[in-house]
Amino acid sequence: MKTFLEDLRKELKKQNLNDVEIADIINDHEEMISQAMEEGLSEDQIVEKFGDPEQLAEELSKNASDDEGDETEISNDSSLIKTISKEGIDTVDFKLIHEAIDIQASSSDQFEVHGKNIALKYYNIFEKSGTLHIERKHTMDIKLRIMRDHGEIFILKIPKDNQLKLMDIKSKASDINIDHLKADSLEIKTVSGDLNITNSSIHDGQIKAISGDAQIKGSSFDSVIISNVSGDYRFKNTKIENSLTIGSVSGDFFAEDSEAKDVVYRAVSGDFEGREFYPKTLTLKSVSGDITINNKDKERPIEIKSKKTLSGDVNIN
Amino acid sequence: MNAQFKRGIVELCVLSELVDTDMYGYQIINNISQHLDVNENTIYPILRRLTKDGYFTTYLEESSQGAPRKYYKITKVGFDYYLKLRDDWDAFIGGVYDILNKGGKKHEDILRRFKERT
Repeated sequence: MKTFLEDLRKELKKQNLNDVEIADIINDHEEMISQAMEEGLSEDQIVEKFGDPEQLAEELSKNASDDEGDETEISNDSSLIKTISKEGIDTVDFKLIHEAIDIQASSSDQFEVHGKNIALKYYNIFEKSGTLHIERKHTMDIKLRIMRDHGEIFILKIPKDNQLKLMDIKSKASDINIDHLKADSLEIKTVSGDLNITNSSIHDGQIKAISGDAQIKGSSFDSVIISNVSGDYRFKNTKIENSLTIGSVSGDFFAEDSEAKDVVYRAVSGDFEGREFYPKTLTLKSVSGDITINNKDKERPIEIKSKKTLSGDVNIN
Repeated sequence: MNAQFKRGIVELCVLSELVDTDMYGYQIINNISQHLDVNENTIYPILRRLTKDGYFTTYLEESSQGAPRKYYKITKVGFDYYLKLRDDWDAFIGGVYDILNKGGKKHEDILRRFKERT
């Protein structure tokens, strides 16, 4: 197999790869070829498995030049990407991967999309039948590449007092900040991004997450549904007119100075803690998580609809 | 098959192989070439590029036979990227099948469509 390695070295030199990189690639191939030999593959089989050194070298040099191309296209400045008049826009639809999302209210009478470290050619940002779309382009059918986190941030400024029908955010790892949002529905689906909602007024809130943490402060909802695996949730100074439904595996839930009518909490090992938290009814179910509520005002009754835990403690004081 | 397109699919498979366990290069190549007609010179550059892009990290581990092996480990960003790519793939292949199968997917259906073409 000496010839394969020698040919590969020659081809890599031809492609102008640097010596460190060539040594590394040759090393990897020595290792893999020796494993193939240990497995008892014949020389012919190995040649077939490893293919043509020239093609391999070409492929590897393409990688190297791809990387160089990337860095030049991304600007670090925060800049205005698009403005859209507010007439007719009632829905915002984000489909992103790891880009941070910052939603703010502004005194302008237009929707403004700003970006930081955003390479525009990887995104579609457009308005169609009342919906503002901000999405990462599909990559399967175009050239597949990059996606490392370059600190990309999208900032969406919404005219203040503008009431949206739907704010829909789908992402994998975006950190999301929402301030002063008014919407009939807020739907968030994420895997690991953290979420911050402040001073917002939302009718239906739906959050599906795996491991991201969330903080909700100074906001009001009609109802909220949260499903989550390991993220922690904190509610502060928040009022939920009707139901708050939480399903979690190991995330903790903490509510302070907040109100809700009907609270349903289901968890495996996550703890539930309330302080100055006055739901009208409570349904609690956990396997090993503890449930603790400490309220000062003993006159305000909390009706416990059901309270089940296998090994956790339940304390309502 | 178009080389660019094939690379994208193999990339998705490489990521998927590493979701639940770390593997050494030869192992990944072996696993994938059992199912797909691709060889080392497609897979290795992908491993290298995904490592460069921070989707994988590598470490060396002694093996009972022979030289130490270079293991590839998927990172958090790598996993996020995999999820995204999978969604793209599902949407894309779903769309392809919607088109191909709109008149039925059995051979007789396809033949009938051809015979009855207007």
